[in-house]
Amino acid sequence: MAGSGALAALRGAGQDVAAALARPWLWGALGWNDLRQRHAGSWLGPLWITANLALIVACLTFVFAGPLGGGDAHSYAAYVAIGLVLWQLIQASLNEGAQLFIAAAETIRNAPMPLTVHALRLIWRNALVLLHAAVLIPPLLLFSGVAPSATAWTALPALLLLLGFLFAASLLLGLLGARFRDVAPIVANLTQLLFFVTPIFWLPEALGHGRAWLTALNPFFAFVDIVRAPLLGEAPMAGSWPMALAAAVLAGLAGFAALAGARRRLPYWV
Amino acid sequence: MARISLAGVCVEFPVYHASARSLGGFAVETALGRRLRKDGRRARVAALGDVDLELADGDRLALIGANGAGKTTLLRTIAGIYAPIRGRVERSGRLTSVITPGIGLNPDRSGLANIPLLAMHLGIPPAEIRPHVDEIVAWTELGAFIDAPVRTYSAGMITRLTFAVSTAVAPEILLLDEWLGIGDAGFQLKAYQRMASFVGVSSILVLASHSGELLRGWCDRAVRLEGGRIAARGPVAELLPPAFASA
Repeated sequence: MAGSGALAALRGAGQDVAAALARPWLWGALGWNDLRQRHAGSWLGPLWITANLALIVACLTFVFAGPLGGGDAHSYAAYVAIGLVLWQLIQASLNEGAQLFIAAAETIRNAPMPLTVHALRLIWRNALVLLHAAVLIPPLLLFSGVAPSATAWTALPALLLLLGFLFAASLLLGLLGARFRDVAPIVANLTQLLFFVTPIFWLPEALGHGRAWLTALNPFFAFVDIVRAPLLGEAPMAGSWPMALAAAVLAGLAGFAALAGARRRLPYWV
Repeated sequence: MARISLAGVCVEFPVYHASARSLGGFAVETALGRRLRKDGRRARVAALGDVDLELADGDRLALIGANGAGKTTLLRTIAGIYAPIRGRVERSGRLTSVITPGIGLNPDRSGLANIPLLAMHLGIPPAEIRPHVDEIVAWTELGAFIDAPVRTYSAGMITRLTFAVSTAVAPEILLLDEWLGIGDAGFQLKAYQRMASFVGVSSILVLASHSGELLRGWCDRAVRLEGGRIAARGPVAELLPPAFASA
């Protein structure tokens, strides 16, 4: 290959990402189609996502608002609903990310298109799922009596940062998962574990000082915190934004490097 | 202006045995054995070797060869799906490559609803295919089936739909694998007329098939692949296996 191989690989990865971003008609339609296909022929369609979340929030609130939520069922319901919506986004994106290119093998071998399209399709699909689930949140916030704070808008850039992180992470995990078939089950195990150690259905204060590092070092808590706290009229913890930004930048660099290194070989792996 | 140029193209497939696909196996191999084994003992299958090919506007190339000779791999390499480990692939002109018919179909939706999905997977945006939808529907002769879910379609019907969509917006480079032979005689004739309407002077066609009749009708030159290498070049009739040449 002419010129420096590494430079050409980085340029190739950049072109792949740019070409994918320039085709919103492709990943946009594919993501929508995924959602349609998943719920094809069902009575509620994608609204099953909403119904499912409503049921879980109701049950968790009934059981845990007392022991874990400080006793205030109204604010606990909003807290747990926002946390679950975000966690479903994180968990689905990481798990589906680890199988990203294996699942798209037929397309990759037969239809030339930028590889990044598959990651954008996944993020778009899961963002649509999030929108369906999120319709529950405004009524729950009203119900909880939380006054909208002046900083509530910061939840939006925080959510976009989370989507950017998940995009890069799914690209990275997808490339690793195509080469090493252990990656998908490992990710599935870890996300399950992380659900319990991340404050989603319990409050971070419950940890006490001795175990506060569990949240301080958990980037997933940081992402949940920067979206959830402003919506609940609170300030995120001091370390959350720096941690989330660092995680997003690191994932972005790692995902891009993986794309540069593996892009030309991936069609042989799937 | 359409052009395809391959020079010294080699494609190899890595063959992963089970332990190389697992993280633990990979770590152990890397720590202990990889340095000794170098690359020499990693299993690789040579799929294409030293392929040179020059095609320009108006060329209609037939790919001939036994199963496993490398026809589909060559098509995928021209399409840019497989990156060669050595050699150079250059291509200019809008590419439509149809290796397998029906890529991107949603089986639960109608043929009509699937037209934009098929087009997208061929690199054609929905806005570009929309003006052609009526013409595509008429050409396929699927009648009322166009509103039925695609999972009820036969292979021949999917072939008709795929071919109509892939040729609706005249491609400058059209790569077709063996699936074209699935269609019935009526389809073959219609497809030939459709192809001939745009593969005149301004397009390139590369067609892989085992059907001598199809290849002789559609193509004006041929290469025969054996073991991933070009074994012969020349007129289609001369390169076909004897059984077909006399037919």
